[in-house]
Amino acid sequence: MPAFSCDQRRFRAGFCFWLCCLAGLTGQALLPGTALARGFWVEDRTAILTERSIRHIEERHWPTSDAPGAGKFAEGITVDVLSALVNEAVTNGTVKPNTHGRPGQTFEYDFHRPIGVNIQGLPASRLRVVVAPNHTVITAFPF
Amino acid sequence: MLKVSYQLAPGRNGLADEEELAGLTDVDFRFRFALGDLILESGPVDLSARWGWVPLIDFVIGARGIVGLLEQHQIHAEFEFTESEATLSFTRQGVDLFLRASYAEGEIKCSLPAFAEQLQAFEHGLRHDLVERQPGLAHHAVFNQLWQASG
Repeated sequence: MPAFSCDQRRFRAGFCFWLCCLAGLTGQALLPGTALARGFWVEDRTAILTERSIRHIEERHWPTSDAPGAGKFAEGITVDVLSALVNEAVTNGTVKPNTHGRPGQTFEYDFHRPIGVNIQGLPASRLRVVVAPNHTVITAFPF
Repeated sequence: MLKVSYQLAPGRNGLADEEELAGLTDVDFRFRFALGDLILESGPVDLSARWGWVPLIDFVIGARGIVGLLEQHQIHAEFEFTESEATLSFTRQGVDLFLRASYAEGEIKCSLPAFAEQLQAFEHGLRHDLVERQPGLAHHAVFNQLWQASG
């Protein structure tokens, strides 16, 4: 299975170090789901574009897709171009925890040039990439 | 008359065989499973998202979270859809709730309790429909945990 890994993991080692110290001091393991762990969020700029990711994006956001209410990439998009766009957005974009308690993180990046159209059919220069906790890309779309 | 409802997309729609079912995660349930249309109407105003791809479990969880915030005296909240920049905005004035969409004209005014009641019926109906289609879901830990978290 081809996987396109964004080679820009910027794990916040210092933050993790202090998090581990805190765990040691309090005697509590920082397991996901614990009350203590829920208060923290560690930014992690790793994104893996899998075949499943690509299929999901093609079905909704490819120029040939007829899925309504979803931004579309510009004509001429290829998997390689998509991979490059995702890579740049994850490397340089704004990252935040996913909304509404959804798992994972979102990355948003403005390319300052049209990369597709938004749901109104107007030129879109921004890309949102949604990445699961296991670092696989869930979806990516222009807006 | 406020209507908060759904239409599941035809076809397999995330349904899995028993082996696949066991491996479904919260990411699957919130992004890839039980897709369809969100129906949100009141009189002539139609803020429905009839896009076929709206993850309906995700909508229930997100909307219940927003209702919870509004019930705790928050004034405004927005629901972001998973596959676009489209949003539904919720603004409370007293017990009145005003709904607007970034993708449709018009505004729905209803009471917050009325919306919460319709959302609860949406949730119960959807869960029932999904378990009826795939009985293994009744005992699926992640699936059940998601509903508990939303309720």
